[in-house]
Amino acid sequence: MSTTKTPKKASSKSAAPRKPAHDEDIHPVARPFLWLVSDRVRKGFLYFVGFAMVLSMGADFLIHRHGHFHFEEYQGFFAFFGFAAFAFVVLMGWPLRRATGRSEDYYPESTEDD
Amino acid sequence: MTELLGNAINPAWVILAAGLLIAALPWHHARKSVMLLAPVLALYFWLRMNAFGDFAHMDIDTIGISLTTFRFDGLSRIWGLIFIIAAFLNAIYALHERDRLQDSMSVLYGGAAMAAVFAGDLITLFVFWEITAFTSVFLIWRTGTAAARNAGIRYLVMHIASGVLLLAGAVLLHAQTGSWAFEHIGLEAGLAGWLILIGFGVKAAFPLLHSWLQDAYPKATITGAVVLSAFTTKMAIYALARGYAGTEILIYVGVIMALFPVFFAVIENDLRRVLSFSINNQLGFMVVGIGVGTSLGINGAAAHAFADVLFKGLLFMSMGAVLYRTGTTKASELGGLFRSMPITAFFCLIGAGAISAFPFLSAFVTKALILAAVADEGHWIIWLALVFASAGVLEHAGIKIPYFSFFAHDSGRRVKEAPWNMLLAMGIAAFLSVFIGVNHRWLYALLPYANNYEPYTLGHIVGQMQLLLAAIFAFALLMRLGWYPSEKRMTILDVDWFWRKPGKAIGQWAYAIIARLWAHSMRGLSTSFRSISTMLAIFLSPNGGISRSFPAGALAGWAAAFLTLALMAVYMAN
Repeated sequence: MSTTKTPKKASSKSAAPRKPAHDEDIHPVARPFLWLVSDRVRKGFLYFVGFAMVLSMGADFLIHRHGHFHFEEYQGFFAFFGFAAFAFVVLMGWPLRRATGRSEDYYPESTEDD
Repeated sequence: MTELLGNAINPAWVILAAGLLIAALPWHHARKSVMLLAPVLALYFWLRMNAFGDFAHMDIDTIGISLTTFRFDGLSRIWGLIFIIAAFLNAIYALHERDRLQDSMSVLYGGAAMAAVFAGDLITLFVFWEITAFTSVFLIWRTGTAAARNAGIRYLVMHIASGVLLLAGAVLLHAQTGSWAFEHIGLEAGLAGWLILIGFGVKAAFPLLHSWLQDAYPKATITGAVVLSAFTTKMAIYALARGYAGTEILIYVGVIMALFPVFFAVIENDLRRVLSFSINNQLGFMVVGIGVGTSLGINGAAAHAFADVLFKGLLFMSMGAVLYRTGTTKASELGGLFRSMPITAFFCLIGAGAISAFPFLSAFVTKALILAAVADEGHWIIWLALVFASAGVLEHAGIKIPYFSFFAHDSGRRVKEAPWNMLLAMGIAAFLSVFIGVNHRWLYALLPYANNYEPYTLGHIVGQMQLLLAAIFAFALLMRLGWYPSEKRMTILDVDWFWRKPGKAIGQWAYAIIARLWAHSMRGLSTSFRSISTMLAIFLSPNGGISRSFPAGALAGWAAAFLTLALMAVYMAN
């Protein structure tokens, strides 16, 4: 098993300019897409998606979405609900992990694996 | 003994026969050829079916049972087809693998699941229900680790128990109705109905009965996990759709199934385990559709099962390819793999988009049926819960799986792209996921009931894009703020903790006590044991008390008793 040293948690905030470690090993198909992980794209992604989201919400003012329920026809309903649901699911991860997370060798049999 | 009407041949027999043949073939290439050809032949027999009905009966005169081994109707037709496709994709995906046991067991397993779907009576269903358990467990054991061995045993125990419950319920039902036919059962059937429902529920991974799934699937072999993801749970969904359509409790069971895995998937580090939670979550949507039970609900469950076999298989295949090349699927160890596995990454993204229900991908046209069925019945809380769960699907299956393996921070791993056969299998699954999303009429025509739902309205597309974009925006924002729980190596506890920790301790204690008592009392008891066994023989033998009231019941009772004993023995051995 490889014990490649992974950088400590690299959040998009502190994405250091990463020179591809072994550039010659990069798959030829992947080369044209390396800009996807450039710092500019990483930083701009939030704004890009945010803009797209606002556009999709704006569409509600141009068309009338017909829904089964009265409340789903409010402008931007799915955006607000989707954002809230996603954030709730992710943030619940913190207390849930505190409650149910144990060390990797908690079950004795699992130590044999790695 | 077997009477064929109209020359119809059960496609499942082809696959089962192929499985037996493969077990006997020592040559790798011959085995692989059979694995590839069998689903093609099965597809031919499936295509030849141009009428619905019961096509093969088998009378076992000695015990007075008449079995219907091939029922082809609206429900079994679509499940039969997706199982044939899955068997074909699995064969391609496993082309590189030299393992006769896994080759034969995976084919037999798929054939048994198919035969269960085509079964017209509960006895046939039970037989193939159990065969899926006995064959599939090898796909877990072949990993060869102690963890896989133990998880396989836990898996086998739960799955045999599921069959025992099914059989017990079937015997009770037969005592009430005098029929073994597998038609609508429902909870109106009383205890029999409950027993069979729980039996089905184990394989459908109902809440609290689900732990075998997240326990065993991630420990299966690379190809094994792909095979497992297709059959067992979807067979259970079929059985529920056949037997329990419109059973209201399933709406609530399904909602819980759709919701709780979403939370666990966020913190799980092993990406194949994340996918196992994802199976559980998708099954929840299908179970809700069955609970609603309208023709739209059943259509939704069937369509979503069909789409799920493809996109979930695709996601498992992509993670299998990652495991094959890097040796791990732990998110904390991965990242940046698109640099070396760009084609796998691309297919994985299609699978992720399909499960997240992006427009023009499969779940967009299948999950919508279930949501519409729920809304039609006015269940607005259930509907909201399912929309909530959909945002959760995007989180763990749509973003987490591709992001942490192929993008995120670069782990520095530079590996080879997946083998060509894996890429081909992924490519076909990806193509079909797009094909269904675009040509939804093709899939809708295969559904059990006539379907004129139209998924591509401007309102539906806009609403869905709002949901997805807002959820992706939330992801980007939480990452930027550092509020996303970073990937950590750890074990996340599940309900199986109860039997893996305190349960095991109590078991060991009880075993020690019983062993001592046993040794102490054996001498005195040996004579009375003999008289008890004589009594049992009188009661249970073909001429005895039980069989006089329902002859086939005795046989089934014996089978259930032996299976229970086997189950206890296996668990003790563990």
